Amino acid sequence: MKINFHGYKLNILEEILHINKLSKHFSGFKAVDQLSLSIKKGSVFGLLGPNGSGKSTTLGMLLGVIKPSGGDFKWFPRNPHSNPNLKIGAILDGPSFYDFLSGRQNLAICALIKKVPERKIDEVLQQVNLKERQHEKFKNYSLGMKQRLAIANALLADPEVLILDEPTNGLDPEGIADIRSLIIAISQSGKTILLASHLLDEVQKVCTDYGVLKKGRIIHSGPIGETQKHYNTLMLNCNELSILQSICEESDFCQNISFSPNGLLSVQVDDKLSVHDFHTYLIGRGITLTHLQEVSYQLEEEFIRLLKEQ
Amino acid sequence: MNTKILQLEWLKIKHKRSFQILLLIYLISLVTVLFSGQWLLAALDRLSIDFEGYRPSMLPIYEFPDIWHNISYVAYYLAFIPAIMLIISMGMEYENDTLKQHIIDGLKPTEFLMSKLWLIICFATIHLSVVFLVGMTMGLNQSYDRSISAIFKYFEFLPVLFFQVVGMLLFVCTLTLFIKKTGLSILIFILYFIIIEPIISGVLFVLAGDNLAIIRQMLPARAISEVISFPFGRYVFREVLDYIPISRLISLFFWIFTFCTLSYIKLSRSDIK
Repeated sequence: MKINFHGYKLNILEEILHINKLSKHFSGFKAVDQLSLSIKKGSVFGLLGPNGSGKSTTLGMLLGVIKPSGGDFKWFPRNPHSNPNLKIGAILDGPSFYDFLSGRQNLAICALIKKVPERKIDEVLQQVNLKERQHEKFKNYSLGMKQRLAIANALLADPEVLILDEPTNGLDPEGIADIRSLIIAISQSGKTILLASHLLDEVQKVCTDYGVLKKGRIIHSGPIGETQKHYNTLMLNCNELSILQSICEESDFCQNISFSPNGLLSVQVDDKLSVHDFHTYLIGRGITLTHLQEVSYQLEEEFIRLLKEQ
Repeated sequence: MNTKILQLEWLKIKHKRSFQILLLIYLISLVTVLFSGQWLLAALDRLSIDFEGYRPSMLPIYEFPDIWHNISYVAYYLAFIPAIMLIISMGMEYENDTLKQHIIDGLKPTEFLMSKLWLIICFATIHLSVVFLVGMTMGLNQSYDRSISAIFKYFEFLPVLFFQVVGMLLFVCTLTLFIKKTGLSILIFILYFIIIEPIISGVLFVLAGDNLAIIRQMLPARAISEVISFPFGRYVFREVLDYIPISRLISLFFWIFTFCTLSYIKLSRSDIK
């Protein structure tokens, strides 16, 4: 949205979801406690939290399957819709389909609910790479295929918002990579995504903003820095540390080069370059490393610190 | 909207094998049981059993106007098959988590309830249609009096049967919304109709005799099942109620209304898990 401010055209990010003191109590237990949050259009928001922190309960309330005990929320505050779920695509608690129906038959039911024409089914099946297996029964699908079918369903009505609850749960590394690249592709199309996950690496790679939930309360929310997003931190050692330092400083893909208290060289390396390629690069410049360690992601450190602080 | 809801139900059930098998069993049983009266009477004939001096095959059970009362009474008890089919249809929504997914996809809880109510109405209509066709076939074939007045006397038993079937199916609909498990819902449904409610009714009778008769009459299984009285006593010269007492109709409609309300409250006010 653009507004005119003293003759200047300013871009203001439109709020797509406004949550105000949302609470859910289960027989005295506070699953979600006075949660307030705002999500902007086009952002990819990562909802982080340990198991039982209230992520799924929060999403359940936002999707109308769990009734809040208190507070409220508003989807699309600028353009309210009588049934906002028709503008949202979501997966909550894993893929849920009729196991005796094929992938396509299941999507036909979803298309009817979402009031979209059948041709959209072909489009989304193509998008999630399930077109060739569309006539197989859902019960015969692998977990990764089930997850992709769930994403296909979420995309069916070309939603403005996509809500994904632990989309890579239980998947093998190949499946995780598939789903992750799918999410990245979807986010690049400008859709707002709300992603609940305990995989910090996933959130860091995909999200623009994040919030941390603990015992039903949001203890932190904010943007994910570009540095955190695109760099891996490596701890290095060798016999000629000063030469290693200058090689890193001269390269285009290293930044924040500093010495750690234990004497190791800490370097942030662009994640377009694999650790193996970086090592090969150093060998090519006559450096033989005696220590190479990929340290935990910064978001993970931040997450653990926040949880401990609280 | 109604077309969409019916289409939605149809898409779900047309590929479910257990549903197809039960549907076939249901239709065959309904037709067979309704026709089987004549075979039963013929068998009794062969055994030289008589009813107050009459040969069993002479009893006018398939003749107008008695036929509507007789076959409506028998047909009601076969509604337990569509009741089980409805439990399967509702239980699968919980067991596959599809109810939750449909709500997430934009289906309103009231639309979901409407889809099941339409399924109930479809079942009741099928039930009624089969009973009507069997009644007309047998009645026209076996009646001496085929006048319009004879054909349509006692015809009111058919719409009452329709509402009895609706009542029984609404009972299982509400039950499944609360139990959420197919097997357990079927078990509780059968146990309740056959054992639990007769025991409750018996205990009330032992404790208070006829003083609590109205409460016993209002218990759901009885209120739904006993709208149409046992008709065959007339053939052994016993008095039968060949009409529908208004009090029984009120009890039936009370439960139809209650089950609709309970289902609506359950779906719209509680969490969908």
